[in-house]
Amino acid sequence: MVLAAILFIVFPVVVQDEDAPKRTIRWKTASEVDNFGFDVFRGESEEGPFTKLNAKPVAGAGTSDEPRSYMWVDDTIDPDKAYFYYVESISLTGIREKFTPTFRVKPYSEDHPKK
Amino acid sequence: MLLTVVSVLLFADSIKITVDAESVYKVSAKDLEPMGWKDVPSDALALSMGGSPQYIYVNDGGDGIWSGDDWFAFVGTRMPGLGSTYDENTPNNTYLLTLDSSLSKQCWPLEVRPASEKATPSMLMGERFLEEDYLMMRFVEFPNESNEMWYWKELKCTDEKPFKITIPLEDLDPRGQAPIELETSAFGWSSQAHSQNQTDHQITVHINGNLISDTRWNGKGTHRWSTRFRRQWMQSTENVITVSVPYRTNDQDQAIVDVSVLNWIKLTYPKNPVLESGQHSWTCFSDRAVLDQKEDTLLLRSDGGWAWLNADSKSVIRSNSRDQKWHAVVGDHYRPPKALVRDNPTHWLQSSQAYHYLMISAPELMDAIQPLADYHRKKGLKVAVIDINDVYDECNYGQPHPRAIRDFIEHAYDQWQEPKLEYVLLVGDAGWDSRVDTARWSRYADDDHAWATIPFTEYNQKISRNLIPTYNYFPFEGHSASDNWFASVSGDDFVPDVALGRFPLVTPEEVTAVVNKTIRYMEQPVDEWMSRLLWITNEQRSFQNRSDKLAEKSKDRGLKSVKIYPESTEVSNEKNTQKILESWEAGLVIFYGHGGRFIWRTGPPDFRKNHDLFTLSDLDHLQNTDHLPIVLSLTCYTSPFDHPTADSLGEKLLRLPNSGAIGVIGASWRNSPSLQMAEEFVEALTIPGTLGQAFVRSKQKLNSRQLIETYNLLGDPAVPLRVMPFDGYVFDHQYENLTLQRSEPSWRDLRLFWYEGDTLNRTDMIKQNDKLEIEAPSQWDSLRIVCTVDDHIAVAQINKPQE
Repeated sequence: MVLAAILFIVFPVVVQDEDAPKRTIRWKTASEVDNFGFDVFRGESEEGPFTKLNAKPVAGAGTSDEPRSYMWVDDTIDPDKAYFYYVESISLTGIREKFTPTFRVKPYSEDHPKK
Repeated sequence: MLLTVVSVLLFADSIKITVDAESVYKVSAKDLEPMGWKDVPSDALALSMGGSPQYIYVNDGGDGIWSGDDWFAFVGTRMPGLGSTYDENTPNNTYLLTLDSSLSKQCWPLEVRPASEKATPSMLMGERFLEEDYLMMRFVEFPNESNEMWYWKELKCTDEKPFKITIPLEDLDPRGQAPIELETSAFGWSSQAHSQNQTDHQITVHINGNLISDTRWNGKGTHRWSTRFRRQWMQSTENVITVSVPYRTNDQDQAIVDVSVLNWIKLTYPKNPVLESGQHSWTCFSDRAVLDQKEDTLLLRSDGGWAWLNADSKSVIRSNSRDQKWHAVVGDHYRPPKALVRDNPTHWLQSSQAYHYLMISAPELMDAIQPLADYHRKKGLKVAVIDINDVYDECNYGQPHPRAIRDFIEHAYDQWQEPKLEYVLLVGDAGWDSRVDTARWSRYADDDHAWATIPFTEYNQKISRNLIPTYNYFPFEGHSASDNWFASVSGDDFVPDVALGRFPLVTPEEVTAVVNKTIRYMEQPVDEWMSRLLWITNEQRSFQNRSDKLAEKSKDRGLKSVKIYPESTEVSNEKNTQKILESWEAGLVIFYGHGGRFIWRTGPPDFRKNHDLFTLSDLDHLQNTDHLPIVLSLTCYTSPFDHPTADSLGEKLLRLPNSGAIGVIGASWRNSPSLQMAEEFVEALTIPGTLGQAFVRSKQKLNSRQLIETYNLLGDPAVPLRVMPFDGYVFDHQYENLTLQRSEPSWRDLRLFWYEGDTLNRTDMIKQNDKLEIEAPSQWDSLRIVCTVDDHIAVAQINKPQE
């Protein structure tokens, strides 16, 4: 075991937006090794299918011992639908790994009832 | 006159001339007069670089004596690297000027003819080399000295903007018909294993909006390519070079991971043969050079030819080879050397030398280290204090380089007389950015320039830290400061043969403070705290179990343990940090757990706890003035002392003038310290000997090269260890009377600490000649016996059997 903290630790957080139907997915890394970046996926059920939301990967930090914060704003949501998201990491060797668990985000309209 | 010259030849030493760029340099006789050089024979002036004679152009007015307003000129270059354009250990180059006519290599006159007004201009090719070293990269797949370490800019396919370089080409020939050649070097970093029918790497280069090259290649490694394009695409004023990695996707619409790092760009272009005031250099592609100079000009050619060309005239000089490089100084635009230093010869390499202990010091720290040398001399060691520049002079022609240090130590170990060399102390910090004048964080590790980031706490002082370089060892994922390379001088193995420590300090005040606390430590009387071991771990049970096992073994040998084990359920580390500060007064502090850069961590950082277990700022609260432990830090990154701007736990622990540690054993990179390694170090540090002997003895039992290379000793290796067990006692059968045996005649300062539970209820002090039978207190549970044997402390702990 290498005694430096080189593990990814992730806490995906969904931020509500008060003005427009969009969700902001935030996640953090404690440190990174050869991390090229991330892709963010969304589906309408936990089993998928999932669609990649970002055209280009969200750039990672490469190799870093600094905690890093990342985000992706999903402004293509149907406010009445619940969604499932996950984040995939991409290494410098092109290896992709599911970085976060799949997590559910309730319909936007539940948080923003129509007046 | 002859007598004067002879006297100079007898007494003049060589002069070290430091240069920092490729240029024509001028040295005048007056410059050297203060160094004792006066009225020297011109034909004896000999310039060399790395042991090779160099051409010089001598202007002595024709009298054969170099004096007064006389001068000489030479073409100086930066030190080339083994695999890089420039040597990465120094931004300078050193030339040696001596008086030796047999080594003198003087320039010879070129034939110059006046050219007619109609003479066809020559095709001169100028060169512009563009390289900035902002990004320090160690690629572990290429682990040897000849590989490039510094790069300019990372280039990613996801970059929002291309990388732009703006340059003018003032001397671009407006009439030149030759194309411009662009040569580029980059390192392909990523290795996209799953690309489909696509190359791993692609880089495009545009100049002023025109696509110049679109190169593609496979694999991880250096790639160079060149392309030619029309001269008209560049101009003498501003040009914009744009370098980028195109964004590509595979069949699944996934990004093809493509990351490279730009190393350098070289432009070769038709140069204007009209020479304006200043310095010029070129290669000539025709058999003669037709030049038009605006002021008096000195021409120097790489084959040693020289010529004076008059102002406002055209001249023709024959050219024999396209490989020759021409330099012209138009007007009085010579570059002065960066430094001229008289080199006082030393003779450390003589095999008649004999020392136990070498202190190799930065010159500005020599005076401050002397009291420590004197102290060890009084204790019987033969100690030499050597200026690092003398090491460079004797082993590397005056050129700073870590290899010179290793060669010097190896020579001393192999060739010097008895006593055998045992200790080496490097007095001065190291820094992996040799550009000491410009070392600053923003050059190589911020988000603008570097993709690989390292968190840091800057030193308080903004001064040069690369006083005594270290060796860059290549573990996985990067580079690592390794002084071990200097110490493994015998055989082909990598285990150390001499005990080498370092004072990673930069000012005389810092050295004086560490010298004072080191001497105070060695002079201290025996005390109970010296035999106490402080065990600190992170929150993982595995490390706590390992520490328990080691503590149990030490208990059997009479050493007392204090443990600080954080629990994963704790929401804050503040209580544990405070405990560490309060318990720091111990003979040996052992941390076993996770360490980030410059910190001891509770566990993998998980954002649950708001701070780490022990950090640089916590060290400011240590108050262990005269109770200084040795610190064994079994974790990552405790002592990355080669960072040019950032502090570390190991360095600060040693540097603190009135607290901290007397010595630190810690790693300069990520590592996995095994239980065996922990056992070897703890065992070695608690038996008689010195800190350096324990360090070497432990490493000699290890097999892991990475652990051996990346663990360094910060501190004086000749410090006697003061923690070890004691067994010379006998109790009567009722445990009421104790008899101490004097098997060792050198026993002194014997102290007994009688405990009832955890309460110390009596202390006895026994002098050298006192009787050795002591009546026990009426109530006691355990007794700790501490005494001095030679320079070591002996300790025993005896528990009274329960009735």
